[in-house]
Amino acid sequence: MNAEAIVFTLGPLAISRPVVTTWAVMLGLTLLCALATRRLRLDPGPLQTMLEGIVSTIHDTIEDTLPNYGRRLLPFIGTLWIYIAIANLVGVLPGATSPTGDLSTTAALAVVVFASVHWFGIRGEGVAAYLQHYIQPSVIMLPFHIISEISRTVALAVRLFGNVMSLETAALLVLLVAGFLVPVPVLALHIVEALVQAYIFGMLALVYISGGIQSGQSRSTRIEAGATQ
Amino acid sequence: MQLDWTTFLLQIVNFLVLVWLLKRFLYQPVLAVIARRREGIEQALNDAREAEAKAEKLREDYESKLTEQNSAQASALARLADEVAAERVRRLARLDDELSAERERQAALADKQAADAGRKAEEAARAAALGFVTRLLGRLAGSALDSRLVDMLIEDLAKLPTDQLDALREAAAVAETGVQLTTARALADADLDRLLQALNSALGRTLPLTQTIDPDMQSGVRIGVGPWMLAASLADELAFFRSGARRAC
Repeated sequence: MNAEAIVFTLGPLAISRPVVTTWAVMLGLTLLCALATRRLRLDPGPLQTMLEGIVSTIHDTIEDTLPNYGRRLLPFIGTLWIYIAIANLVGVLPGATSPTGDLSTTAALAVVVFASVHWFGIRGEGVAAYLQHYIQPSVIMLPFHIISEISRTVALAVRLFGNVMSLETAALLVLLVAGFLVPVPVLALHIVEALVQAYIFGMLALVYISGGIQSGQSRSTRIEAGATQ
Repeated sequence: MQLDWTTFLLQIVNFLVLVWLLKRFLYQPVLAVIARRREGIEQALNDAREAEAKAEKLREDYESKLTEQNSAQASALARLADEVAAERVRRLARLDDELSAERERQAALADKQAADAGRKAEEAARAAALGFVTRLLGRLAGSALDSRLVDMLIEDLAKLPTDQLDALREAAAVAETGVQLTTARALADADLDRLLQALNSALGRTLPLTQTIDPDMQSGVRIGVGPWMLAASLADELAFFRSGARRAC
């Protein structure tokens, strides 16, 4: 990382702009949620209705993909969607840059998703049962499974980083070349792209987690079917 | 496009902290209020279902009671109709009896009225006849009729039953008893002699005679001996006829 991206140092840690922006996003989200959920009522106001709509939509989406896992996966998948969407949209603000335009951030998120796939898979079926699916249907498939795991994690990180970074770069270039108001359509495209990329990242994470959980379940089903026969 | 490990690690930590924060301040409270609302809705639905069940039970009870009431009403109506019919028959019978009694009473009344009318007609006819006879005999009254009535008295005197004749003689035997002779006019001497001769013959003695004129007698004679009275006069006959006719009615 170049020196311009370092905002300040905290002992041996060099705090970069994406980290500071992430802290700001975290602070804003926490304050907003803490204030909005302080006095929740059964007869909701507009803000409560919006929050309930967001949470219900995320919960229902998870339930549609992975029934009975809504409450368990909601904090992780929901935070992915919310954080990435806001982090992407931060780039629209003048003078601010998206944390997700930094490869370190997207790589961190991809690694967290990678770890969560195994975490939820092992929690559901146990270590042995979960690891069995890497040698299914044959041990020969083990390297391919490992390559798949690594490549999709890298793709997850690079896809988000590339899209956000390219949008910001394109907007900057257009602003430099064309003038003050010309980048507005590009910024509108940025908003749409920010939301779409957040959705894609979260859905892919959900699909990967779902695959990890269901691979263990399908194996258990096969074992039970064999025992019955 | 560089990977800064510090940023990488801090972002992992940041994300995990954010997961915890949002779970604490967003997901749990919102899911809790949604669950609470859902419980309230479920409770309301359960209450509504219970209320509906109660209402349904009440409706069934009501319909059952209504059916029972209708049945009871129908049986009561049938019983009432029977009672009304019986009462009608009873009252008609009583009315028939009353009508029969009334008809009989009316018939008796009509008969009585007819009898009264007949009697009145008879009385009227008799009164007319008596008036006619009275006027007729009044026109015939005179010495000739007196003489004829004297004859009739003499004949009757001769035909008196023995016990009456004896009673008449006993009355004549009482001291100072005279003969009281009453006529409408003065009798002819021949008629008076014949009468006194027949009377003395019947009494067996000659009594003193007291003669009285009574024009109301119209014609004929009346002889009083003590408590006894012998009469052959037009007035007495008409009176006898009138009283006889009244008794006959």
